[in-house]
Amino acid sequence: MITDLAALGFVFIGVVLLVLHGFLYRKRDTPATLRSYPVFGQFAEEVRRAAEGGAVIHVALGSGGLTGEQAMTSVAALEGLSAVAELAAAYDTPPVITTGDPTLYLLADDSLRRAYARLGNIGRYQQRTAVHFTAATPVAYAAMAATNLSGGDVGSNIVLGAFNQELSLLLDAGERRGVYTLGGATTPQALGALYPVLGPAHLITGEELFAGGAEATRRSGYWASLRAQDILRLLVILIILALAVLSLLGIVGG
Amino acid sequence: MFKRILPTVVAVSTGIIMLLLTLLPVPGLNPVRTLLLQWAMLLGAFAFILAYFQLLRVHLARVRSAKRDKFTSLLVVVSALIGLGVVLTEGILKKGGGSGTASQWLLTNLLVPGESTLLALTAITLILAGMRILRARRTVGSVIFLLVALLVLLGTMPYLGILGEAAAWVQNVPALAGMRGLLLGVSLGILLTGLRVIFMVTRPHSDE
Repeated sequence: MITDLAALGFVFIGVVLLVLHGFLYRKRDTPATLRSYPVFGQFAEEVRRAAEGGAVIHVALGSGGLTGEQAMTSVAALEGLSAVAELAAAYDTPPVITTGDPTLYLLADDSLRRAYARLGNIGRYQQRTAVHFTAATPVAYAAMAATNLSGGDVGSNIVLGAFNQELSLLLDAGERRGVYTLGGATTPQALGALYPVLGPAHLITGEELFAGGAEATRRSGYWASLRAQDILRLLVILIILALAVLSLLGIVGG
Repeated sequence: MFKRILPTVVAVSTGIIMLLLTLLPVPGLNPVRTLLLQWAMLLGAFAFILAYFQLLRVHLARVRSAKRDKFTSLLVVVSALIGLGVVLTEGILKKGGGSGTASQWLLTNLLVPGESTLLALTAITLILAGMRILRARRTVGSVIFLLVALLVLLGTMPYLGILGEAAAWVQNVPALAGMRGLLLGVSLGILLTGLRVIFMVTRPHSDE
């Protein structure tokens, strides 16, 4: 019960901070930014490169379904890729998007379809099969998504979403074929697979994935949420430190 | 109206109800929560049907084209059709639905061993990636990454005394601390993304 109330308290603080910063950032003349996440900018650059060079971009969204715990990770990943969808629709070079969950397949397909619809080009999109549901389990998904890289026409591979160590199968396939890879994940297992391949410069680590929407859309609501996230993180750190001190003094804990 | 307002109202109200019912468990309202979850599962099942047909569509197109990997796509199409056939036949024969002996056999004798093999392969691919890292980037971070990976691998071997203790310390202190920090940050990100959906900053469910 206490943990439930503490969680509710955190949600309440989150709501207050989000609303407060939402109003603050809305009043500003210049777009609000907190810090730069250059990797999200590189996604759009890859679309331009692909459009000019005729190569295909493969986007791996992982197996985070909308009916499970990873739903928000997948939503955040799609937000971070919104610039990719817009540019791909503008150049009419849709990336090959693979998903390991049927609900995520629908969301990704809808996101790309809407990007085409905004440009009044929905007819072009309906002729495409850009979003693929690849397999229903994470390991089978990674193995089948890896076969997409074997065609020879894939120039870059963007991995962003809910993954675990099975991601190394996909990354290894990309490395063998010399496909340029960038992206990120939220789990330590997936980051362990990503770090040796991508290095820190091209890697989106953990919570940075949730900043993709702000970087891609530049909308004040996203920056407000990022600011709220920063303040909540500071609060968590302070609570941990306070509990550590109280524990040392023998006031709380065993 | 139907494309913008209705999906938004449904998504926002469901989000708020589920959030409150999860954090403030009121016994009388539990059936509402269960019902909403059941609806989500049902929609997920329909998504599976759509995704299944998309899978067939993509791989049939690949079989028809003159590209490489035709055989893989053919194998996917044949196995998908056999799998569907087996489950449907068993479902009709059993009348009550659910999985039967043949589909269980397919799962335990084909899918599970195949996936276990692939998962075991990830250990090899991770080691290969670790070896490539020094060839591509000789930075302090890369060297530390490899040394720690090596230490933890060696530390799992028996009778290595201080090396085993060092590996255990690495796993239980800095690695665990880093992992918890990472997961705390991700949890906050998940919370704020959820709130963005509830406050309609993000609208993945409707045309903006």
